[in-house]
Amino acid sequence: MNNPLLNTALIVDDNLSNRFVLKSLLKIYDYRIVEATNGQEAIDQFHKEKPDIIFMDVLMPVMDGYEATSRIKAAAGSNFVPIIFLTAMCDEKSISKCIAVGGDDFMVKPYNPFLLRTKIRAMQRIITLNRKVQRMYSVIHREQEIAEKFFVNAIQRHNIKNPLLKTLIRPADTFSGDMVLSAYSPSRDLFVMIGDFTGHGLSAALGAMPVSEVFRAMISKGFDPGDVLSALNNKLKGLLPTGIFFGIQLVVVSHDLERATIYNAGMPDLLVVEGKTNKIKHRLKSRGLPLGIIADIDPKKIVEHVAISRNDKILMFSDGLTEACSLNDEPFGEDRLVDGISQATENNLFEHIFDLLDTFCGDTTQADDVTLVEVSCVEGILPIFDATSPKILAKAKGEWDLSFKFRGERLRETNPIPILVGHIMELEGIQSERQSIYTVLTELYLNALDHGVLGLSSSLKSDPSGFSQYFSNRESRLASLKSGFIQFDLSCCQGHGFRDITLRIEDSGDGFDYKNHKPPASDEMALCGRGISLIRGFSESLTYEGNGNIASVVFRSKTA
Amino acid sequence: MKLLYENHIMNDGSVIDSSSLSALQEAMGEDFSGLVPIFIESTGDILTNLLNAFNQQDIESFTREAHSLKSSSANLGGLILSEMAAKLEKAGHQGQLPESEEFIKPLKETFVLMEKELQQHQL
Repeated sequence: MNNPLLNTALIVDDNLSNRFVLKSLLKIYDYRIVEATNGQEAIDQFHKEKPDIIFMDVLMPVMDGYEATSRIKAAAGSNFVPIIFLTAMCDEKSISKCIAVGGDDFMVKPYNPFLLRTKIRAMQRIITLNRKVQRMYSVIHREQEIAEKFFVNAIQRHNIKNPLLKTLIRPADTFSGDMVLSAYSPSRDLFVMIGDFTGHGLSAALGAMPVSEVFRAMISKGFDPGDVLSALNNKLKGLLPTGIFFGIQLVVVSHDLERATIYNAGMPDLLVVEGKTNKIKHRLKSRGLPLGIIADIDPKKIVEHVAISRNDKILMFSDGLTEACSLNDEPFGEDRLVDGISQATENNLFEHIFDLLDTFCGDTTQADDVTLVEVSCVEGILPIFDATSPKILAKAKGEWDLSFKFRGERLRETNPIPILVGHIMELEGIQSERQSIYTVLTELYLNALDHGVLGLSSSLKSDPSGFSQYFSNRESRLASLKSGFIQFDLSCCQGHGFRDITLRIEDSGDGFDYKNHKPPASDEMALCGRGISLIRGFSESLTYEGNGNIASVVFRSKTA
Repeated sequence: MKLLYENHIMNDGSVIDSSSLSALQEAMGEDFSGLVPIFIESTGDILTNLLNAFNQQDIESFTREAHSLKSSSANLGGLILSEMAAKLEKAGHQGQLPESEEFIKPLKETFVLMEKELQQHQL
């Protein structure tokens, strides 16, 4: 019976008397000894007896020791089984061949018992060390797997799950330095961000956690993408060690599917593809440094607004895609990608690109993380509009008023809506259903700012060329804004069996003749696919006062 | 080719280096007594194989058997036999075999001497 605790030694020699001598010399080590008389037998014995150490003669019939050694080493893989060559040939060529085929040491015959003992001690030390390393490696590997599951869970679990938003991350390592985040803002805009930390593996993945936290927290509160970007940059600037930074592409698809707001900082070109023909409509180059390098970035210098049409597809990818190499070390490259896009059909763009990449790369080891995202600009990618009044918790009691007035330059720096909504939510103890209050406030605020304070005409936006004109006019008027104001008066009153939240917004603009005309805002909103009627649908009332420069919306909740 | 074996015996008239043999005996302990009959048997086989390989002009087997004899006899301090085998092996590596089967004679003679000395050594 084999004693499992006893180490097994395999002696490979075709000469019986040589084997006898070595067997005797090894007795003091208490090895269980198995024998083979040629290379082929040695391989068979290796698989059958699982020896811990092998003594290998060189010249033998059937198969020599060199061949047997290279096969045994290949079969052993990362499991260290030392092979000591026993050679009567002491020329340099024979000895160097012993090591070249995978042998760990050699002994020149005739055996010197003293040398043999020394070599075995050295090998035992290496075996012990190797087993320790293997154990440590398996512990690390297991921990990495657990950490990786945790990471993926923490980062991706809250991503939007929608077949129209196709994402794929292929990490080069257990951990990915690439990440994809997606979320809807309270106003139903779709935010998709892909990011690429310098390098790959654990160190590159660590930054993913704070990034996803900031991203989700700010978007759920309704912050502008520029604010999100600034916050991410400042967070990473403080956290990332020098030399590690974070390239990003951030796309915001507006809830009306008319506009994509795009930020590309340190990533490959982002592509907007025409839905039916797969023609590339827009190519958006990186316009800023990756995040985490400089202290304050100006998102306004990076942002680009692009008019989109239904069915357009937005393609986002990391450089791991274009730099993925074939077996001949040739990169996949932009040209192959662009060809692939034009060859794809209307419905298989994403899949086609990955098929091409797989065919191109074959079995090459992946050097960097590969990320590809396809955003289909169709209604189904947006959340269903939840046209319900916010539910006020029964415990909310008493009344309150809040007034904010934003003047002149302040209007260009701040989007006050997330802060205001935050206050209302806290005061009324509302945890969710931010959407309706947020949407109404945003609509009223944007109307007040764009058409009231800035005096922009929405008619510009109706054709595609005017679209970018509208946004550049808006930018320049905002930049030179010195006067004007928007005032918010928010209040809550308690009635018998109901509770009203009133949002009143007044701007310094000229207003409009709301008694005789449809408000210009309704045109604007009709384009957005919602309209005043929708707001009326879930609010108690929408009224205009003054010159039409004051709008009020009331939300009513029944109370017990 | 003509083979010239130089030293048939060592200075002390023996064919075995007794100091290496003693060292081996010490290292092997009581196993040593088992080694002698094994060596004698396996060396007899090798000499037969060598001759067969020569008769069949099988250079590869010839070389391998010579190599085997070289190392096993050296183990027991049989330096004379080992050197003879080394010459045959070297010739084999160069693709050459001895001219006639006469080459085996000095090997056999040396082996007989070695056998005697080994048996004396054991006593």
